[in-house]
Amino acid sequence: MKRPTRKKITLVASKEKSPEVTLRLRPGLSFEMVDILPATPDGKPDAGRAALCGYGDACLALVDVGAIDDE
Amino acid sequence: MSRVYRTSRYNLAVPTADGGALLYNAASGAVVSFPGSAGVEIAENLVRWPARIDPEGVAPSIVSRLVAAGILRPEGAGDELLAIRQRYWEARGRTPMTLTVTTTQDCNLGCWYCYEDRTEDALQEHDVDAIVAETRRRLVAGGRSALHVDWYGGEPMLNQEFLRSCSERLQAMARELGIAYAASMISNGSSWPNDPAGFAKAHQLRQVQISFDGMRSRHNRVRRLRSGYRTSRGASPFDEAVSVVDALLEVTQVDVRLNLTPANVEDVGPFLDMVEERRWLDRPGRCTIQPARVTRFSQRSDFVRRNELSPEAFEAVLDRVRERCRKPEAVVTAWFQDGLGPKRSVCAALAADSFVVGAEALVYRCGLQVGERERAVETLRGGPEADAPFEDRAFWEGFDPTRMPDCRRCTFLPICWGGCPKKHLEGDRQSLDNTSEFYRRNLPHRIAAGSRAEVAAGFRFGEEDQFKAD
Repeated sequence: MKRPTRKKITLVASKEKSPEVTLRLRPGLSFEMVDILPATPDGKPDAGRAALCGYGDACLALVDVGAIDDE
Repeated sequence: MSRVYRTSRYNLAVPTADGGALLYNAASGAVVSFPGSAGVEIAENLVRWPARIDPEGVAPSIVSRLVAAGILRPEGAGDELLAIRQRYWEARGRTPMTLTVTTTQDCNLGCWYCYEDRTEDALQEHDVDAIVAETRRRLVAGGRSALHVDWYGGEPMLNQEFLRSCSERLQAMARELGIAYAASMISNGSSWPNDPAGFAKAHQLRQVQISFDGMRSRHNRVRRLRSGYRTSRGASPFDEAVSVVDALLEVTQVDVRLNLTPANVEDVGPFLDMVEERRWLDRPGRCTIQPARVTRFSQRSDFVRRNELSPEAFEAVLDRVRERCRKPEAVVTAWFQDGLGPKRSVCAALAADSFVVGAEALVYRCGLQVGERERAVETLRGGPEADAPFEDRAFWEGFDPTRMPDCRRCTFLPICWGGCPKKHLEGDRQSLDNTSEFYRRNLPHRIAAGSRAEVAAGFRFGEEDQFKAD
């Protein structure tokens, strides 16, 4: 693993299979949520397309074989 | 007392250059941005799995957004792995039906890295009936509304007589059944008739892939004409291919595949200059540039390993291509075809009803296997091979990454679905490990790019991020 140096904070250290974790929020903490879903160039949701071959290096050809049925 | 939640096993945290963190859920495709060190603290706790979360004191609106993103799951919600399994099997049924037809195993070019055996096997006119009948049977039984045909070889255009006949019959059958029809072709571009655009229209070619191995000198050296063969008009393989791309772009999409090895990476710049000079990106038909790493595509091409770009070197070249290309969106690779969202389709080898016809009329599941008779799953011609055990059939019918020891505990599973099934069939550990490496290295950057953020220097996912407890 090649993580950069950063502060490591462990709220709960446990060897339990289902440790309890409490989310502690600090005053002033905020976050924003960004949805990233498959999108067409115009930004609308993709109807769902399939390709002849879909795997990185193994590609036979990236031929678009059409929209996924029933979507 | 507040409701209790569980973390999703598909949460991944990416530290950002500005000191915050992004939390990504691979099962939903959602990304949540947490600014500052406090955000890092929260993100690090939410990637722990299994873990129960008591959100007491946390604003309900925040909790509901984390639940909507799939990052938190209500206690008692269904098994995430089962949900992925269900989505995968639905995709196998819903992915469009594709018929890949290997018109001939012959090729006029002698590329050193070719993974196929060149033989005289070729489909004949008398095979058309069997191909059309089997296609019709599968279309009707599967209740299909569309058929995609991919013409493949060898070089498919070396058997044009068969191709024309089979194409006309398949189109007629689609009209009769009232279903949509489209076709594509994978070709070296050197044996086309004088009117490529007319040919594309007549055979409803919606997409044609033409492969290059660099500029003229290197291309002609790698894609050398084999003894006794010629190109359509007697020009070099490179000039023929360029002229076919020119013509096809008037009427259809052309995928310009640029095969890359350590020996031809310096041709990338001049090649993109040629793309500009010929205005391939500004023609009526869409043009995509598809850089591809020449690698071991089958068990018969292990020798390629000695002359391939490393994955890291290939990605560096890919970055250069994107920077140099005037329309970066025209540069396409197989990775992240479904963006960051979970996968929704499978390759043709896994799609229900799809099949590949080899030049000897054996039926395969993956086009990369044609000619490897022991990999066939049935035959269209009958004869002695009809009694073969077709041992791979059970593998293809049952392939399920959610049941495989490594994949079932992999955080990348929703966006990867185990990678290439053929690599699993062949036990190609190196390629499968390369897939893991690719996601560990590149997924953080894809997550950040969607949020217009930058990944903290040097960060990549580690083994403990990819494989959580089972």
